[in-house]
Amino acid sequence: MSSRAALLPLLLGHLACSGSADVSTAPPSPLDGSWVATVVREPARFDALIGAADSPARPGWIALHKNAWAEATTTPGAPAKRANAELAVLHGVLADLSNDAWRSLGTTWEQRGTLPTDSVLPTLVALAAKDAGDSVSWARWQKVPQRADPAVDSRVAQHDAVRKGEASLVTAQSLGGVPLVEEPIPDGRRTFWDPMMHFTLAQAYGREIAEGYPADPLERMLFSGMIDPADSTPSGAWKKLGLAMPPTDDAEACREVVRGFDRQLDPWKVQLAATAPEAGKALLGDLRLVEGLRSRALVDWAVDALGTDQPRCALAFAEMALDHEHPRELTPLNSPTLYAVTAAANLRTGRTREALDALQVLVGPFPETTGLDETVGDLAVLQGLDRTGDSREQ
Amino acid sequence: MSARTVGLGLVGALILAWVLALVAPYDIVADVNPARASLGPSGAHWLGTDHLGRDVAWRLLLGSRAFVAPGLLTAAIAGLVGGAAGALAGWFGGPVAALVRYTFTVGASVPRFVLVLLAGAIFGADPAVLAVATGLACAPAVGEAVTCRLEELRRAEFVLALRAHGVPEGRILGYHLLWVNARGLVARQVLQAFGFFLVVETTLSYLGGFGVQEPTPSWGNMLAFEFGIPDGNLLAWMAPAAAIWAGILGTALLGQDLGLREGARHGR
Amino acid sequence: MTRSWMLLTLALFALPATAANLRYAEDQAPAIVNPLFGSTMAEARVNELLFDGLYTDNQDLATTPALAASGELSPDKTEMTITLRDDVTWQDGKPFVANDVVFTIQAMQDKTTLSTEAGRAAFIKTATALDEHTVKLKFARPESRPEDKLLFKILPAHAFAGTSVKRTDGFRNKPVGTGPWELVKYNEDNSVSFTTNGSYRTPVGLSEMTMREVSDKNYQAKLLLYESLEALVRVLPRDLAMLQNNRKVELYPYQTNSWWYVGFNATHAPYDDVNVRKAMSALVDVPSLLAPVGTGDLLSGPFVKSSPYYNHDVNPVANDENAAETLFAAAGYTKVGGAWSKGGKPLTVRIAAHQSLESAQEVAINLQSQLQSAGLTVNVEFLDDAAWKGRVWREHDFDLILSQWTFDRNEDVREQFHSQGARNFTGYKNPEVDALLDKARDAADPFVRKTALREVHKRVHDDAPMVFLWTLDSYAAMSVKVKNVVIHPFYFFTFATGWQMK
Repeated sequence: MSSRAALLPLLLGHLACSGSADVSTAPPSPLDGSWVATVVREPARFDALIGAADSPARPGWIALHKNAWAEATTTPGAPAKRANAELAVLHGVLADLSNDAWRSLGTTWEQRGTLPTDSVLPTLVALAAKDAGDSVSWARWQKVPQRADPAVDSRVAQHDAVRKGEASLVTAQSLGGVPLVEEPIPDGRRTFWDPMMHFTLAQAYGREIAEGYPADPLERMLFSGMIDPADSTPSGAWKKLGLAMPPTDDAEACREVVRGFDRQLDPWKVQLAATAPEAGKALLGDLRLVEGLRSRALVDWAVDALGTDQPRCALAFAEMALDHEHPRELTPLNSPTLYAVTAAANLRTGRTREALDALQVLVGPFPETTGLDETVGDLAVLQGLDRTGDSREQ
Repeated sequence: MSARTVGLGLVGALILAWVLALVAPYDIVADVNPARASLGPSGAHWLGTDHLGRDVAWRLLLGSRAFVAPGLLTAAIAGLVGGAAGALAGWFGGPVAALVRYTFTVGASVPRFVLVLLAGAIFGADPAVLAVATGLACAPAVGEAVTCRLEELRRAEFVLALRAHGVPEGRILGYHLLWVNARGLVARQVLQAFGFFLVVETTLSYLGGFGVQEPTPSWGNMLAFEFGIPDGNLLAWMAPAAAIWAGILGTALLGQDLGLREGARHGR
Repeated sequence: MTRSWMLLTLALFALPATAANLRYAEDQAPAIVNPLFGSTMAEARVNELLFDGLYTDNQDLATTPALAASGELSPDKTEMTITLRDDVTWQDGKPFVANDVVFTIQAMQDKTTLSTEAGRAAFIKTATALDEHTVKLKFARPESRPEDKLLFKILPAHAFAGTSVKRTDGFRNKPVGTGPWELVKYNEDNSVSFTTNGSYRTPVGLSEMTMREVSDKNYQAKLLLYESLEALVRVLPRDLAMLQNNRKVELYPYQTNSWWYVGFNATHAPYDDVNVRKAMSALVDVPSLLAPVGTGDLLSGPFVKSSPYYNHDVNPVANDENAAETLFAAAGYTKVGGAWSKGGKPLTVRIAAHQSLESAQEVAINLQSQLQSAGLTVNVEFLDDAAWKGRVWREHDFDLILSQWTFDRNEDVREQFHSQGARNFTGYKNPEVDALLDKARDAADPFVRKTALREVHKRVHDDAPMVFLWTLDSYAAMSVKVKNVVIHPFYFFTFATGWQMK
């Protein structure tokens, strides 16, 4: 089973609400049922949820708003659960990216006719194929001439333990950040990283939300991309907004979907600000609630598009979600998953080098992505081996 | 307040700025400090700073150096060359006047700005070159005006009387005609030439490539450098724009006043 | 009149937007339209509209045939026989034939042509036309995928007198290509008009294109908002906020692998002394130089930070006056009256910058101030394109240059740092770096290339032929009227045949 196929039902199951969000009047706009409307029109509920300045829950919500998920996981209560859910999705996307990158590394090198016969690479490609649910490639790559390495076997055992629930998230987190295997070659050495890291982390984070996920609707939805409280999926959102996703991977059509979303969002934001109490208006502006909703919704749509093999659509959604004022930073509008899905979609559409730009943003705050960054980099180098580069001034 | 007062005030301020700029203790290179970029007016920086952190007031003052001295050179050349040629044409008439007039016509047929640009392209965009080129481009206007005036006066009775009294021709021409009767006219024309050089210099430095280049301040390049900077200090470009406008207005008002006085003196 | 009113007036009377006329802005019009001599990105983009290569990138950035129909590599990989398309005509109506390919390669290699593209054909030993539509290429070394190197543009042999082509050749006035657009005319306002090549092999969505020269990037952004332009190829970071919040404009980020640098002229004293170069590098406060320009990544070597070749163990040179003093002393300089001098002569520096390089003024003035406050006498010159090409490219007549390089996704820095590199303006020479660059070029294992180039990063950093400054984010901005936009990260217009305008 692929990483995403395993994770999404788990995640969405926890996010589905048992009841609808509280709305006081019949919504003239489909967005009136969203958590943004609730918070802006009833700021007291927001205050009660966030708590006072010394409330233990407050730092967690602040961290969640900033997309500082690692920080949020260390705080008590709902924000930690929410952050674990986000991290599960993030690592699910990174796992897909990793599996794609490893398989491309293997097949591209093989197609060149220079695949080393004394390397551990085929083993690692096979493991990535297995995590991707590609049993054909998994079987094939096991038969390619390769070198066995005890470090790989040991690492596989550690991953299996975490995946079966016999070892904790902490163990999973300790597996990243250093190379898995280094093999000397005449002109240097090959450094290979762990291809299973992110799938394991996705499962480990997912397990953290298996029990006790927030029950309160606002706790579930605050700072999320959820448009329809009754249906947290992207298709729920499109249905609510009256938008139609193209069946094919048509980037322009997907951009048009976003423009349709914006055509509803822009006047609604104005109307919301006009009718909100002062405290609600302040929240709307200071926390950029509508912008955050938009960005997170588009990221959810991008993750979904990647899952339905529409990488060009995924890239269009991600590019239109990006807050270009801070294009290389994690901000309340630019989440880690945004960069992950941008990287994954770029890789899927042949833009390996662009994938590295997105990954670069994650390497600092998520050192466990170093290996993935290096692997995608190796793929970019491999793809360019026969090319003469061009350069110009300005 | 009369136009003359305003004009005198504005032109006087220009000259004063230039004099102060000659002795200003300001280092245009050392003043760069991005840490204080785009600050508003304050006690330390009366007009604030630009987006490189440089003091706008000082640069405004120093920007006058870019055109005052060369502008005076322009005026001098326009006055001397135009005045001399016009005097010769107006005094001697006949083929001399025809030749001078023909030269003026050819010179005036090419837009002055284009002539200046051509000179800059051929000889280099040094302020002195531009000043000489502008002076020569403005000379026909000065000369034409002087020619007309002298043609009108050379057969006047007072001239005949002066000749009859044995006054040398040179003194009649130089003092009695040019100085007494045409100085206001020449002054007006050279003032216009000075104002035109202000336009030339600020335009060329605004467009870049010619004229005074950064980091040396000129009101034109200050305007170009700061206009459109997001979240910038508005005064950083409005001040030089206002200074350019004030300079042109001052020379125009003063010139207009001189023209009116000239006309009154000569019964027009 | 202020510039903006002039431009608004111009915009009103400017070329009106016809149904499918895409108007895009360049900081400076291309100085030459001839792929043999293209040196700027603006020239590369125009060449992309007018000309084709044997191969090109498809939308997945994989090499795909363009003028070639198919290619066959010999078993020993030293020869390739290319069958050309037989349905292509030049924009002047003449048929595209094998001799055009042979001519192009020979012109690129002809030493008297001095082509800026000579390096891209260096791997080809000979090119022979076997018949009207078949070309045989022999390579200097075995090549695994030669088609990946055959993306350079092909020129019409019949339009030239011989393979020795001069920059002044009349071809530049009326270029003839096989590309999707043809050049209609150079207009008086420095704009260039293009129209669709009616005989192009695939449908072209835009019937006309116009390149407009707008030297001020802020005005470019305003013209886009006023709908006097449909596309900006590079948006300044500081204009992003203005454009991002406008629903009539779409921002498209793309990776240009570009970095700014200050290069030393190592061919003459005192910059041939590594201590002088390192001393001056230590005097530069790079974050302070960057502040007025925008935000970007500071660099320590000739790659952008996200590059697989970037050596993260190498830190950018720190701004350290004490270190600079030690280095100047080692180079025999002493500080006399606050100015660094040697043999009684103060160190005087000329910095040259390209007039049309965005924000070059701010950076150069700021750099001048930093160096001058540290005891150097510094003059700054802003050169126009002709002066830049002459003094920097040909004569190497400068002390320091402030400029920017943009690389395609291969990030091939050989031309800049190999002692034989055609773009090695700084005159940098290090045999060990030459060997590493050769090793990277010839590597069959990606890890060998990666390791070699990371070592190049370190050596080049240590030798300091340049002060590496920063990389800025690149964006294109397009009107939402332009549909199906896919941008090539380097050549920009490669996929423009699919663009359409509503």
